[in-house]
Amino acid sequence: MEQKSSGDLPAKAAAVFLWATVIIALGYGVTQTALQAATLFTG
Amino acid sequence: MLSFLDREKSVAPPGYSRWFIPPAALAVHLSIGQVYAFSVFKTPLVERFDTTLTAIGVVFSISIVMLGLSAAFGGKWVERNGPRKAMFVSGLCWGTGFLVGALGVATGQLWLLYLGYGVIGGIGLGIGYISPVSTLIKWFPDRPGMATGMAIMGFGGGALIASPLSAALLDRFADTPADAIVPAFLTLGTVYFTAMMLGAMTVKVPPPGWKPEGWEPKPTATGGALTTEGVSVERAFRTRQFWLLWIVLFCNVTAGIGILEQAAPMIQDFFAGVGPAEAAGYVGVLSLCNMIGRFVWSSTSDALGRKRTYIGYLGIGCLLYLLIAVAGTGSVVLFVAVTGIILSFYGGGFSTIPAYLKDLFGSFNVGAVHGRLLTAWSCAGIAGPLIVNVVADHQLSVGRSGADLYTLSLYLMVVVMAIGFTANMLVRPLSERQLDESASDERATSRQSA
Repeated sequence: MEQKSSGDLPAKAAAVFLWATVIIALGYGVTQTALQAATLFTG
Repeated sequence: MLSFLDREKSVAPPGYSRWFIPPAALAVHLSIGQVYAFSVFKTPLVERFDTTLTAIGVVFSISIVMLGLSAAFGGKWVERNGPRKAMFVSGLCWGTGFLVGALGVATGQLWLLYLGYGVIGGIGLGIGYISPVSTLIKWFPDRPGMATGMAIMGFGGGALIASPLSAALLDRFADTPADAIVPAFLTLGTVYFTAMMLGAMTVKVPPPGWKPEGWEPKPTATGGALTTEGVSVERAFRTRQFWLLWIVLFCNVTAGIGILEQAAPMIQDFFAGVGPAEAAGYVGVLSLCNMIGRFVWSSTSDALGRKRTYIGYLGIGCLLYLLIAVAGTGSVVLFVAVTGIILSFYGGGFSTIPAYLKDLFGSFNVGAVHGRLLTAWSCAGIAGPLIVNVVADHQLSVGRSGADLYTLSLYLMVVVMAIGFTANMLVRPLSERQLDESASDERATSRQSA
């Protein structure tokens, strides 16, 4: 049976923070690039 | 003092979710992916050092060469010491590279920029690139394509983030970009160092014998040896299968560079109505396709199988290059769509290869084997632009212009793809004899160390 470990709460919290950071950073990059890419079709 | 970096200290406790691991890998790859946005600094650096584009271009070349060398020679060290220590070293090198580079810019010493961003940063690139791959494959043995796709998508995404960010920093920190390089480098170095250290601290390896709930490894024709032991990097390096995959990766990357290297001028030569702003937009489309392909195609390979996926990359890619060569000037939409698909295959080729290596050589040493295979990328990084630029110069010298400048190099890429396709078709699982040789290598190594 799997046991949940509360001792790794800081590691889990850091991982959740990293997920959020990574998604926001990727969202920024993709949005900026998509805006630039749009000039190909809008001139 | 640094024992918390040891592999043994990074073993996950029972019940730890494997979904806490990918952000650590992404943090590293998004950081080192900045290297493909180095061109943002090129013109300001030329002005700052009052030198040529070639002299500044050498900085990028040194970093990519060091990436290949450190991945090839550091793979065994990474496997032995675990992802936490590897990511720590990578972050230290990548961050220090920016600091030393900034010192070079501030003091007007170009050699320090070569040393910092090029050599030290390049080592960080190579170690960082391979550091999470093996760990992700061990956490996701049921979906290795998706797992490595996530990480290596980060490398493509890193450039998408760094390009606008670097431009914004150069605009914000000083009146001219040339004067803003030092604070921009210091900022990027600090941000990336922090992100990579967070990644290093949160990464964990699965406990020995761990596997996803309800999953059993598929029995192989040779009795399942690959899933438990794996082939040593020295043994893998001597197999036909390794070198066939080397050719596959070399050809796929060379063909992708065939578009990347000349994307902006090419679309303007193909279509008179496309100007510099639209061409920059086109480069953005290609970057998005490159990044998306890394995740989508690699994840698809879990269902399709690696060999069939590369049949798609190289076989369909070959036909698409032919289409561009024959009918590329027909329509902007068709041109963008076709080259976008080729670039998605370029990205997919990078992210699917670790899973292909895992299928052939097992997961135990896959990071080290992957590191050796990345020498194909280094070679393609030289061969691809060389082919493209030599052909373009020749076509110019014989008076060709417009789309005719590229016809020959497009046909050459068709041939390159066909070679890669053939190599992929020749890949077979390791034979009983090859596995027996690997097993006796392992026994001999165990006896020597006993």
